[in-house]
Amino acid sequence: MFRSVWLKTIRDHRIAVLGWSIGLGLLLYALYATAEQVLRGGVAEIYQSFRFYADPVAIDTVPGYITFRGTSVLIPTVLAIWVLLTGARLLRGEEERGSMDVLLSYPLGRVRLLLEKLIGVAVSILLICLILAGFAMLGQASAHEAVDYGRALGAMLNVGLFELCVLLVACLLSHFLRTAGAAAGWTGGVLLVMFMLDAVGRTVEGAGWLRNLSLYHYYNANKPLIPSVPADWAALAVLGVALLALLVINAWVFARRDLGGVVLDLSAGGQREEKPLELLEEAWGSLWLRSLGWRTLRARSLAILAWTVGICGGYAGLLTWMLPRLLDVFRRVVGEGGVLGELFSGQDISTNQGVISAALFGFIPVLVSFYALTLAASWSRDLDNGRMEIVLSTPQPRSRLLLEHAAAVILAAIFLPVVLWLAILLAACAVDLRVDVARLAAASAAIFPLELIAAGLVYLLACRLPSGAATGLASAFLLVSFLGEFLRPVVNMPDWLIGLSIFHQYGTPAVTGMEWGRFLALLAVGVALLVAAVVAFGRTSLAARS
Amino acid sequence: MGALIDVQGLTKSYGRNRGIVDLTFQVEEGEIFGFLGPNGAGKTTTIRTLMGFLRPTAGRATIVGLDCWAQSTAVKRLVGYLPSEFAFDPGMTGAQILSYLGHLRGGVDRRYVAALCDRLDFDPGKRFREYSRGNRQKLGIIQAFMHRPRLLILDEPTGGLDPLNQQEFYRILREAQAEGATVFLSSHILPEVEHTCQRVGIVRDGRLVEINEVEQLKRLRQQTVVVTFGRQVPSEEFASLPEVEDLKVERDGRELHLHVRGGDLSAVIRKAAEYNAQNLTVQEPSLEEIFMRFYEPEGVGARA
Repeated sequence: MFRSVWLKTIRDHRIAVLGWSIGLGLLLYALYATAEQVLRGGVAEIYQSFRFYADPVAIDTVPGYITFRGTSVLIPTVLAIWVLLTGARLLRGEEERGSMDVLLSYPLGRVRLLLEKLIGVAVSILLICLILAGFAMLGQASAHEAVDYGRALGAMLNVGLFELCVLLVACLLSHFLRTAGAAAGWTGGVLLVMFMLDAVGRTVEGAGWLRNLSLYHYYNANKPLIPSVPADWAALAVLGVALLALLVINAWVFARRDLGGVVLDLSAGGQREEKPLELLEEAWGSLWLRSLGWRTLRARSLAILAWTVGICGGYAGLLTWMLPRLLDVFRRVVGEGGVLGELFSGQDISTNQGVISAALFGFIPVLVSFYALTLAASWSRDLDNGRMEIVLSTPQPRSRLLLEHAAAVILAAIFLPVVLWLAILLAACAVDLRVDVARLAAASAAIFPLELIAAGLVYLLACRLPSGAATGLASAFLLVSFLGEFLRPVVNMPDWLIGLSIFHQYGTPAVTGMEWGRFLALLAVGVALLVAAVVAFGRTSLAARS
Repeated sequence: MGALIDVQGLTKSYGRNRGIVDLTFQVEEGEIFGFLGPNGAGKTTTIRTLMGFLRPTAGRATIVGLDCWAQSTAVKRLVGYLPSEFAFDPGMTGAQILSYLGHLRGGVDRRYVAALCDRLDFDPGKRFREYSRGNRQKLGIIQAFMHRPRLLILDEPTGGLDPLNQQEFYRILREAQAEGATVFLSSHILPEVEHTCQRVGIVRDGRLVEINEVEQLKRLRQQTVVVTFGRQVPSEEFASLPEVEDLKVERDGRELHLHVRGGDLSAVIRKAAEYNAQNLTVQEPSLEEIFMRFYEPEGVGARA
């Protein structure tokens, strides 16, 4: 595997290929496996109200349902997270690490290097598509559908084409930006804009032309899983031409730009020429540089903003805004039983508050816990990459440094539930939906101990384990905790086992109001984890964790 | 002056892997102490143990009587530290990093920091990711010196610096020493150690194999003696002397090149006199030669 650049690129991605294909494959299989039951429950009617998400074509059939739920947006977008990170790092990542200089010191042309790397990633994407096609066929069998390898493969190759476009966009943007992280972020933004263009074009009258600007539109023009939808060769041709154009531009730009430099460097002309003392005086006055806590808040501010906007605006606000239109259908579908009925059993959906509790607060605590986890993970990452070494050489007790970082995370952890509460109230107010303000406040506030537990777990594990292992284990705990609670009505598990799930202990405060016993118990666990992390960090050798 | 750093039987192991074993040494207040050894010998492990980053497996290290592990916060008030690889948030500018660290440390004179920037020709307006290796090293040096610490612990301080900046660094170092600072310096650059350090400790395979004054080391360590005779002499008689480590015969057995260890040449001189030596010259070894002997693996000629 070390014989050429493209073989090594495939080798570098072998674990990601397995992880993403199996993870997404299981998701696809689960969608197929539950499709019949969900469709019997009349869920197709609900999805008609979600046209902004995707085209509900043949939604009352299994292939239509899978296309709508899985292959239209979910699978290509989730996989695009890996693809855009890979595309952004393809060249820029090597430049940041300094390994590009070494690679290009060998008799290897730049264009050839780029092409070999792209071929390596393209083969990796193809492998993912083939594995996904296998899972799709297993899914077809489980849903008592005719196993059609051609359609399954066609659908996944269509996903592959979409991912190749994302890959080349990320790579192209990396020529214009100094860091791979920035290129990945901008590519994510471009994808979001494209999704919105497609969604708005589909749902707003007279705005249909906007869809022509979106990659999602050309990708979704073909729905190979649905036999009644004919192949759209024109859309395929557009994707093909876009791919070719992106490839040529990438090669052209990479062959001409400085290594480590950027195309159109707008910042160079604006370089300030100030004396060291002036620069120091200016920096000295900045609030964000006064302590580790402030610095952490500043460094994580974009992430805090993105998560807050995403969860509060994109999910909670939007769903609350749409709730009046969905209430009747939702109640009827859940009331008729089936999988949805089982999943939401025990939830009082006769009131607005009950529906909000089921539809919003069934999932938001998980998302917000992951938000706290990712913020705390910056501590373990900095320990791993040596950025904390100098900070730890200052006369600040280790406990204080960790507590300052934790204080910044706690502040952010309080901020999001407060915004969440306000966003739901505002959205409810806008559509004249009656809600219980106090119970919504309780439901939002009760998320805080969950965030504290997620963050505390990362801090504690990071004392002994490398960052990847610490965040991986904490994530696994959250995931198992959520699945245990979410699938409780469907899968019979002993009460004591369910009791270990923090999301079970969260309860339904949107309906019942604040359950102080549970709240304080979870808070105590979070505080205990944080205290344990502080004690352990004070006693740990910094080299023993990596 | 008393010992500022006192290391007694210090051992640090990583599971089955060796770190450092039973190190014992002192560094006097006001001296510049060089710490030398090949890669992986245990230099950085020793430094990180002194800084309280690593918990000793056995033994103890103190700075001004303060335990480096248990009282590490108090120790760090006295110390300016430069790690072997200076890493920081790539998006922050040099000025922001210095201000941030200045706030965390306290008691930093901004005018002195600005003066250090000027002397090392360092531009604090750029982002960390834009700095070359040399400029990152300058930033590391400035943050280590900026609070005029009582003790400087510097791991490979001149790595990446150009000769002009190296000279400026030596001047800053001497000024710090003149103001009373003690310096614990790890380095591979032997002329740097020879010119800046009073004493040197040499570590190999985690153990301290030599500790001495630089001048004393040069005197005590292996010397090359060339003896010329008017006739051929039995070289095996010279080779059998306990002080002779290596012997080469030249000019048909009339000239012997001897490597003599320990600085005591009396036995060699007596034996040379027995055979009416015509000429005898003693060559001082360079510090580099001395270190190379210590760096050689066990059994290849290293004595310790």
